[in-house]
Amino acid sequence: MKQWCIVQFQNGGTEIVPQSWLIENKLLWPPYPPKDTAKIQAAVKKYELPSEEWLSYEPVRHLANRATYEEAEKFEKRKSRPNPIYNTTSDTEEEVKKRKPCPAPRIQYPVSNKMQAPVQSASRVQTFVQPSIQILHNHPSESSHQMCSSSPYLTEYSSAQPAMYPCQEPSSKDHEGHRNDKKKMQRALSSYPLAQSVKVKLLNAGFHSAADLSDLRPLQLSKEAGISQQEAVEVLQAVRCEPGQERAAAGRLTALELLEREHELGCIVTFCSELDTALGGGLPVGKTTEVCGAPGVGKTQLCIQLAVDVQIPVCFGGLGGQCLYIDTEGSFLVQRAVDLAQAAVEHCALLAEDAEQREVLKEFTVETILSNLFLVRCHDYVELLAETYLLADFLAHHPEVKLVVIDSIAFPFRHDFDDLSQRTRLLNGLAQQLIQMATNHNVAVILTNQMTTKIWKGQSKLVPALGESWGHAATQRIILHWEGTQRLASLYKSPSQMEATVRYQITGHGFRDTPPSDQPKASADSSMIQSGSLKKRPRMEDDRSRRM
Amino acid sequence: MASKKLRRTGVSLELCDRLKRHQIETCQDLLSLTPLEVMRFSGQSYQQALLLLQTVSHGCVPSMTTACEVWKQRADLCFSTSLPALDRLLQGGLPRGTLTEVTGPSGCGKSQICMMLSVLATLPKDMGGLDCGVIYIDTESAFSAERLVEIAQSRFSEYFCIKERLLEMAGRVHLFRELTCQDVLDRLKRLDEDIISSKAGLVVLDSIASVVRKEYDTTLPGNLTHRSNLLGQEASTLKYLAQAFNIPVVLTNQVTTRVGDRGERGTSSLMGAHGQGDSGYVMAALGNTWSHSVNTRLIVQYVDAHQRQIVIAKSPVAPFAVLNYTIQKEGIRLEGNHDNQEVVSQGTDPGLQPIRVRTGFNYNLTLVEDRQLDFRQRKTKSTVLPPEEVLLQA
Repeated sequence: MKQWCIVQFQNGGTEIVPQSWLIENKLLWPPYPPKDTAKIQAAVKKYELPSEEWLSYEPVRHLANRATYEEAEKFEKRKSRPNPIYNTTSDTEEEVKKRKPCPAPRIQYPVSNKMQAPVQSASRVQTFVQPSIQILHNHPSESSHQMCSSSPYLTEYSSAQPAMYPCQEPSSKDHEGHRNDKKKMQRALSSYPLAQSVKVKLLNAGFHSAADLSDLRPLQLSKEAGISQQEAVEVLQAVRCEPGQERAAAGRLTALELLEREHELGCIVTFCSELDTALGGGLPVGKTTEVCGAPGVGKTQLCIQLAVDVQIPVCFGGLGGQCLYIDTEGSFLVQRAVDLAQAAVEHCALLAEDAEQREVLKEFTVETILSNLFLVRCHDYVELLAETYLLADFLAHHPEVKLVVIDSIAFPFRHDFDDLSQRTRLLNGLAQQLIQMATNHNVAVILTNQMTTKIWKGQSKLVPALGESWGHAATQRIILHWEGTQRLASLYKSPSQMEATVRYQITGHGFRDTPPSDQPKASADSSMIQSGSLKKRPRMEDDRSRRM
Repeated sequence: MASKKLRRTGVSLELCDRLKRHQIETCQDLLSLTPLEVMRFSGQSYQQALLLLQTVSHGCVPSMTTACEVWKQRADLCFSTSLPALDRLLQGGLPRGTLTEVTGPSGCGKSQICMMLSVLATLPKDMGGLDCGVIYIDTESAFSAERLVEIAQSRFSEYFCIKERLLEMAGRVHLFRELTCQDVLDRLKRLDEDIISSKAGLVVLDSIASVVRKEYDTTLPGNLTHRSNLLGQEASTLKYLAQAFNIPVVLTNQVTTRVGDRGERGTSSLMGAHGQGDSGYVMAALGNTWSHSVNTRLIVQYVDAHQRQIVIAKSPVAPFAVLNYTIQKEGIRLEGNHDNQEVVSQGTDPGLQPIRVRTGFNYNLTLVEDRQLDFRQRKTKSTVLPPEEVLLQA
């Protein structure tokens, strides 16, 4: 009597075959090309008998018997996992690849890491691609053969007989990873490197396998098993997979490490010693700084100055970096950059004392400064957003870039917006990206902002534009303003420095201290640049009168 | 570039269709969304959504250069004003690719400067000109062809003694009269065509303030926001044009009188210095936000009946400086500037820089604005006269 069997393969895929093809847990398979499914199906339906040259597969699992092919088909309710037979021929490479990018689940469930137990080889964990729980969330309309639908056997299989199939010939990587995962979850707690007393307590409390611990928090565990909290954390960490641990460690940083890192990063001097002192040595690298100010007060000047100063060679106490200047207002004038670069070069020439510095100076010319200054001109906010999306890539390719200037953030966002909430959202996203970039790539980010007139209680006063919530965006905030004919810079917001107001001036050479006559003695900590700028000042005065 | 279609940025057709169902068709539409929204609309994972955003960004991002490359083309960075002292201060003249604003009280010579610059732009390159056309957008009907010819003839009498040259010059100045805000904005939006077809190398907008101030009563709520929106759009269009064609753009602005709250702003010392009387002081119109939009601001102001001054109030390259000039038959003539004297490093906020108007003329806040319009109309009929005479007649 003819019988059709439903068999399941290692990877969970099922197939209907004549009973005569199945010998215990070994399956015989016709040697037809795997792609020729019609021929194979015909063979199955015709109940072809196996011969010598047939292939054999093992192990497979015999699930059920049916009297007719149709009934068997009904039972099988296809299609679950692809038949591995189709994978084992030469053209499988392509097939596997095609299938691998299983449509992503709508929501990424953070399950996978937690469920994994430590394994012997780290690479195994890496190959693990799609855990079954995610696959279940696939879009149901996708073609059934290409994806893995929720096969009821799958779970039954692996949980009931976890060690039934030793992984002799991994059919596809994700499948193996999957099974590994399942296996890990079944790993007995006694096999973990834990203290004997802890193991006993866990067993007594009814925890036998890693899976039993998967959803527990340390506090719960310590209560339920009667172990100390410390032990509970150790147990959970041991059971959890290594990558998770590493990730947790990477996100954490002690203040000491942070301090060292910040010292390493250094600062960009502004050439105005008072402002440098107020900022704690200059513009901090790795942070975002916003410069607000009335029109013509010197925001762009400060930006260009910093774009030049970031390039001061390391042996002169600078950073020797490059600069990316994103200009949205069209106010970057290269003539001015040349002025400032010239002044900076001359300044360093005055400071050069030993041979090394003189050697470096040969490289530090106006031309190199200009060629290390990358310029982008964005005409509207869309281009600015596009640029920020690509900034991470750019910074990765240009690790020398230490400063990103956006002059200004306000102009493109101050018109064209009917919906102010959209503007706020975009700006917040932008700020977040910039902060991320500043931290990840260790660059200083300067944004300039305009001032707007606000009428408050019948008085008009100047406040930074873009609204109140934007005030949170940058780590530091400097406001430049006028007091009569005097220019003042106020540190308005800073997590580490005192609020302060200092005077500065814009000369032919750039952003500088006010003349020493009416300036209180600068404190003597950041020695070199300060002494430099003190040396510089008389010259600068001469030069200005000469120029005019 | 913001209106670039997603199809052309290398996004797959399937994805384009899906996004189109949510009315997302251009780069602007997509980049205005947060990554989470992109995830939802495109039905993709977070990583894929970020990738999509990057692809689209690549499609519409402006190209990157270095300052060095810009510097190599420094020959065309400036447009000479033919006033040596001013050129020297501005490091060669009006910077191309940026907005230059000339602001000042009525009749002080703003339109004269504009017309003079128009003549200069048409001159051949060896005479310091640009050898190209001029787009002159006139919102005050203050442009006078007669005066243009006169300036040309008296300033470059040798060159323009041939009548054909004069005709050619006049033919290259393309005048647009736009008398409402909407007209001006529409004109600016389509100006790229005009610039290409007339081979223009200079755009003059005289003045940006008049139409805006005529149509918006800022005492009404909401109007101020609307006005700054409009000005922002105009500024960004002009900046785009200036940058795209690498040409100078010259705008003129009017003045306004500020009353009262100087004390709180801490600028009271300025008042004494300039002795503007007791009812406030005069400064550039259109407010603080607009002042941010211009790259260079030149202020023209009165010293006495004949003597005027140009003040460089805001410039990325030049220090604060004051130059004396008079208006002559040939346009602007700098005179009475002794070496080093013109430089006064005592600048202040260009938005609040006090502007000296005619002394001896009994003006007050409301009258000035009304009369300005009056003068403009008169001036068109009798522009051959120097404006101060018109003013006296009035």
